[in-house]
Amino acid sequence: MQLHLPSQISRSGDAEVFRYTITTDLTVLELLEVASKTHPNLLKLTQLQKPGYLHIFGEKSRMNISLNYDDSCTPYTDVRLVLAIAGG
Amino acid sequence: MINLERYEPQISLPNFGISGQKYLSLARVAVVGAGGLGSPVLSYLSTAGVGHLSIIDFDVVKERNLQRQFIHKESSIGESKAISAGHFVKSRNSEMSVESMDLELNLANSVDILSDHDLIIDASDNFDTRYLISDAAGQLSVPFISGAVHRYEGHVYVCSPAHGFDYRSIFPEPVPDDFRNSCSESGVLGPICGIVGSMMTSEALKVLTRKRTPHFGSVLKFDSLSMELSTLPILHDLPDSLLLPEQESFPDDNSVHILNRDNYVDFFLNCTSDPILFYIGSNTVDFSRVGFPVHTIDTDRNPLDAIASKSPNQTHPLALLCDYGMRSEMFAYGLARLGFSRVASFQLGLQTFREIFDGS
Repeated sequence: MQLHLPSQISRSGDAEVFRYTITTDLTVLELLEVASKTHPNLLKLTQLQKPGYLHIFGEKSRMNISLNYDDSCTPYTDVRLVLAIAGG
Repeated sequence: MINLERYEPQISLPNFGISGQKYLSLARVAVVGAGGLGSPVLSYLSTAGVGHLSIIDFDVVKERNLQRQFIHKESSIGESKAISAGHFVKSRNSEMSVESMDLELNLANSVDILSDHDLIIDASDNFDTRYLISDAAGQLSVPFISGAVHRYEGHVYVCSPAHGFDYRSIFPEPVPDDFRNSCSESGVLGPICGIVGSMMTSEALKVLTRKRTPHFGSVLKFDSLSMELSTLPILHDLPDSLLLPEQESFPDDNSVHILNRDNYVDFFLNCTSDPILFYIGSNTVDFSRVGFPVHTIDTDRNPLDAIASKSPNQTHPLALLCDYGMRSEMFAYGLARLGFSRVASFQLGLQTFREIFDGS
């Protein structure tokens, strides 16, 4: 699915950690990838840390997303969410 | 010895061949979970001719499982899933070896149980087992294929801890308990298990046969509502090699010679009498430079009978040629099985033949 993040980024906590709050009906842990081609700054940083994805912990109707990236503050507009599922 | 008639449809595939079937026949695969995903996985692995399957599941068959777990029967309700699955597998392929383990994989036993396998299939139904399998595979340096289903969607991950990609590469932290839902709680469509399990098995066959690069280092996601298949790349620096090492030779390799431009001289020099060349095909081929007897075999006939009837004895050297090298290799092994001791097949068919005899 495509998720459009707000264009305005507000900082909280650590200088390089930004938090978004997104309303969604998803209920489990999500895997999130930001399109790295359009956001080279993120790619650069995520290669050093985790490869191009971020984690979301959520409640039933709200999710807090932590994005770690450098100081360029580029708004992310192309984000994919993949449900972490375990059924078999 | 490979059962050529049984596996001919896949042996004749480009980049599969006899060697792919041999790899399968020697492979030992552990399948954790004999449920919705385990059903298609066990079904296709057994019919493909995998040498050994270990089936691990501690659960028993329940009526609500039958909606998607097609390897179990109504009469199996109450029976151990591992044992029921073992009976199914043996009924599909009596030539293979099966071990049913009616037990729960845990931290104390996982490495021991999963050791001595070439590939692990994670067809489990919970996060804890997925991390357990991933960690054990890491200790054992064994590749594993993990699949998961939920409602109308499914995932497949081809993992190899030795190449830097495992379950924790995708989901580093376990999902909090509050966010865990099982198939019975969230629902799942039966065919989704079939599709995802078949995708897992298709990847497993790539890994085991070493013939195609598996979909490694990514999340492969299938959504049946939109009928979309998407890939989420996780590992960006992919290894060059396939996941499993190539074997230098197989036990019965001496019976058939696979001819290519580099080794054909040895075969022909060591022939004590003129070989006979059999062309199995219908193309027009220039045999004028061959210098020894050539027969064209009508593909409508049984090539093995036709070749055997034209051979003076079972020690006479025979060279088999077809258009692409798959059928001739298969028939070469068929002749070896009949007792012919000196049989060769042109590796890439007419391409290799022309390189050798025309210099093209």
